[in-house]
Amino acid sequence: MTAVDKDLLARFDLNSPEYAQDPYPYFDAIRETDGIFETTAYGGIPVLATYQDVLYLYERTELFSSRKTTLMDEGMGAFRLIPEMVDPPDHTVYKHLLLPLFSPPAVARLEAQIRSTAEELFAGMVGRGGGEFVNEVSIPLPTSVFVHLMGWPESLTPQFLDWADKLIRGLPGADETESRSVQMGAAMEASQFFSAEIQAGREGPKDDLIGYLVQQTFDGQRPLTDEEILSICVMLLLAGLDTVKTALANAVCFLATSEPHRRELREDRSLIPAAIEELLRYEAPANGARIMNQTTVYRGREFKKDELVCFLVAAACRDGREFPNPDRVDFHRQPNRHLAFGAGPHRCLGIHLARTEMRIALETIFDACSDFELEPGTTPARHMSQIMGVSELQLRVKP
Amino acid sequence: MTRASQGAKLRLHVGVDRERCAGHGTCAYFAGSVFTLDELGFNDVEDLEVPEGLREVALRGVAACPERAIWTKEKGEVDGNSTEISGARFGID
Repeated sequence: MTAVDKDLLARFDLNSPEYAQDPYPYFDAIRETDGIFETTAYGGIPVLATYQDVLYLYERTELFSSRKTTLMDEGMGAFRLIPEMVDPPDHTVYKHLLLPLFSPPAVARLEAQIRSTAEELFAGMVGRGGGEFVNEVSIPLPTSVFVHLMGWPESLTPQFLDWADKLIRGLPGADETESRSVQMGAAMEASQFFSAEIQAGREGPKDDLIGYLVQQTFDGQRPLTDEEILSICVMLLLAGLDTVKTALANAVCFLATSEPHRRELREDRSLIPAAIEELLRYEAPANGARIMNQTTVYRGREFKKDELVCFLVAAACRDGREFPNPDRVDFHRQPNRHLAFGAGPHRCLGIHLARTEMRIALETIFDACSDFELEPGTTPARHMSQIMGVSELQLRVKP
Repeated sequence: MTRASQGAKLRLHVGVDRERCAGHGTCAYFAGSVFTLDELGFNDVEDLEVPEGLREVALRGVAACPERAIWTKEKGEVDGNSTEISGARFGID
């Protein structure tokens, strides 16, 4: 275990690149703190990091509100994402509206398309003997899936790829302000595109996801508004891209550096689903925030109404009280009740889609090459924010 | 063998607490031969007597649930008396 810098620990910030290369020693220190850890960042906030605490936060939505789910005040944080930033009972209404779009049968209908896209993307890397996995596979794959989920033609993928790349990476090499303005610009353009599609859908319903939404009502009381539909579209774009991109890059990065685990999967493909769950546990990509709905005392600490709370899913998923030998990757781990998809009412809506994308991607990789590994002499780059993990991964691929 | 076990015919039953099920689908993901999902992806097993041979698979599915939404019971006859023993739930306060 890398030594923990006391000063860095005291001002722990999920959004700071200082922790990116190896956040786990900090997560361990925060989780094993006596009582509840408090960081001096964001004006001083509590950080929940044990398995029990994070599960409690997810389940007690009446205490821990999703009105605010980001630590930062700027940018997309000001936009009310549906359903992520809505509490029950309204959340339940939106969720039931969207569940059919992400049900196992709905995902099964996308499977052939996902497979042909994954095969095409990875074939390029096999042909060149390797390449940069994030750019070549793990961003384009969920982007193409998003376009198909929306019921749109493949020809729109390049446009969304450009927006996705800007939303996820900003402007590489530029300073934070410049990079953020590129992200905001892409978000604006995508929003304008969605708004135009909503108008077109209102004029004559189309057989696509927006066409479905314009015909839906809020609990049978009134049609959905343009603002609600726009918010749902933006949510689907944001939730489906960065998360899958990062989870897939994390999984492939781990495999690329562990020959025994690669061999295990190559010899028994039926282990891939369990391996995906274990790799999601080992490096859970999404962490978050909540805001207190009411003043409450939990574990002897008073959480004040409107106080911001940070929670670390990745730390909870390495809690030895729930997961024996938590720092070991074991594809036979049982049980594996990881929280990478959240829990309770706000569990990830796209869980079946995400699992399917990851399964198909790994199956494709093992089918298309005899072996792959981290390009010798390179170090994977890692990104730190509420979605954290591998952001650049040079692979060497053997045909 | 004890007298009780001689006369015991207990079968494992499993079912879901629909209030608690959040639709992760993890039970069916790991124990698809026991747990089925409804069309929206929620566990729809109300009360299933687990066939012999699938006991271990069923318990794997039960343990996999992040919401601890699946109950287990041993039901049957012990010494001619109808008996029901609830299994421990993986508790949350």
